[in-house]
Amino acid sequence: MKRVSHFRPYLSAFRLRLKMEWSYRSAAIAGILTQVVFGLILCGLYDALLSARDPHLFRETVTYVWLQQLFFRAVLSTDAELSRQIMTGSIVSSMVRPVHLCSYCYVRNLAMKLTGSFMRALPAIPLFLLLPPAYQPLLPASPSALIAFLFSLALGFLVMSAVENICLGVQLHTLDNRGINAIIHLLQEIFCGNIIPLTLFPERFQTFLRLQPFSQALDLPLRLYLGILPVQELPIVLCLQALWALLLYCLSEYLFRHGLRSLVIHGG
Amino acid sequence: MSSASVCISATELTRTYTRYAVREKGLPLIRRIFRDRQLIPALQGASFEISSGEIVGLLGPNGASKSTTVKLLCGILTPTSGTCTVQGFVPSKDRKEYVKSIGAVFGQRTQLWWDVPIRDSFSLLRDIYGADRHAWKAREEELTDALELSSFMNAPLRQLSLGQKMRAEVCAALLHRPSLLFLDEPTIGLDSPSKVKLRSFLRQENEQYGTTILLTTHDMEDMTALCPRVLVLGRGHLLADTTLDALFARYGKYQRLHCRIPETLSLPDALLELQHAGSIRMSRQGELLDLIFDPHLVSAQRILELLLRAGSMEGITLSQEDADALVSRMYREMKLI
Repeated sequence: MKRVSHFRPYLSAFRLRLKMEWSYRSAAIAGILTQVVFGLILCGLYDALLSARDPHLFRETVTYVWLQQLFFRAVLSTDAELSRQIMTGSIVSSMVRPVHLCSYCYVRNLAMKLTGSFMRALPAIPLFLLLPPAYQPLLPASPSALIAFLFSLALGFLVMSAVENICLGVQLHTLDNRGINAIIHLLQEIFCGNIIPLTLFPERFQTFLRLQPFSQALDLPLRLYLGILPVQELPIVLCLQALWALLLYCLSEYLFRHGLRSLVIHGG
Repeated sequence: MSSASVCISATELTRTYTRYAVREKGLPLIRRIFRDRQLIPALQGASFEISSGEIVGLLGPNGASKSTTVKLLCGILTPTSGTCTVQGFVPSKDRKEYVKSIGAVFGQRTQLWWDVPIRDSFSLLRDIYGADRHAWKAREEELTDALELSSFMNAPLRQLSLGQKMRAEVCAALLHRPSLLFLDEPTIGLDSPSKVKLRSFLRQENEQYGTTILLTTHDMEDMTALCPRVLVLGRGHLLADTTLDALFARYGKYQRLHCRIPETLSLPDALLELQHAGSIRMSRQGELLDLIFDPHLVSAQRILELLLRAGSMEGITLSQEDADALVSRMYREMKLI
């Protein structure tokens, strides 16, 4: 019973943030259109580069690109309200509430990323049927690959929410989030595989690319989906993701703890 | 019994801010590379005690460290030196445990979620405080009635007017029945009926539940309506810890006479002489005559006699000089402005 009451504030904040994301329905439609356009451009590019040389690699890459676009919001999204609160000092009102602020922000990030991406991903899937067959994404390598993909995607969300929390933790020191977001978002776009699929990088970079934190979000789940990583490797992938989620969360907790101590809200 | 117990106790409470300012001397451009660390004294050695159940006002001009004091007492800021104990806690140390029993409204900042109905924000607060559903619902109904929130409980905060927003903020600060309430400019930007309602609501909360209230405001009407006791702050120093009545008795030495006289009426010489001597200040605009005088130097009766002898007059009001003028004079005498 005690345990339940301990988590209640965070569950409640999580639920409310899920609900809040529903206010942004037109943003989701705009998001889908953007992702489809980007996806088409990338498909065209890889069509020109790969389809003649290696048709299978081309189809794999197309699938990778589309799934990256579907879950774009899991990677690049910021809780604008939290950032605004830190910038304007309204965060004081959260500081006079008995919540652990770092966890509170973390669950808000998580809820935002989950609703944000599924609100875009699910309606976008039927649109794939309108695409020319060569540009349509492949089905998962096997039913078990799909299940492995979903498990690892879930942990991917935990990692990305921790990254977002680090941005907020840094913002508690700098008060402005533009600098840190510009840096982190650039790293995310490159090292998540959003601009160029990480699978296309030369073999000698692959170990590094798989171990680094950003690939935990979408790249590893997608490799499981495509069967590039066999399902047998799922436990290792999950452990790696959990480790990164924990590490990054602890880093954000450190930044929050230090930041809240030194944060000075000026003015009346 | 509880009214006698100490709620807030501050000893030599001090807070200094650090500011990094551009160097003033040195080569042009080069000096801009460096920043000089400056210590800006805010609150300096304030000691005071507030008992449970009191309503206390913090008074002082802009930059007097009123908000700093509130933030120190809320645990948002750490004191540079000195100590404060609030309800048995050291606020900046035991923040999470301490804030369970306090409520705070920062007039310039919002605490409710921007894009969700305020009803949902309130439910989140229920879960944050781990409150019982039934007790919470009863309290929520009590407050929504008293603050007249029911017509917009389902509207997101962004669609509310300033007055509605402020009432919702006050409600959010009181839902968990805090025994201590901090209000930092709660009536800022509100119209008069809203202010009057808010004041009577706060007084009622205090009387009914014995809630201790610490209020900062620039609105003297708030002070006179709510606070028997005031702490006067100026440039970070606690200059007076006194009752509002004592302040009025000390600084409110002027009275004001307001009336309507015919535009063509020429004022009696005796009155002009008094003005010349500085005993009264007079301003005349069309029919309206406004007189401010020191009753120790010249009585109201004498002025009325002089005016009546000169001609007819209507709509006479005699009052204390208004509180804003009084406070301005107090600040001037304390050399704060």
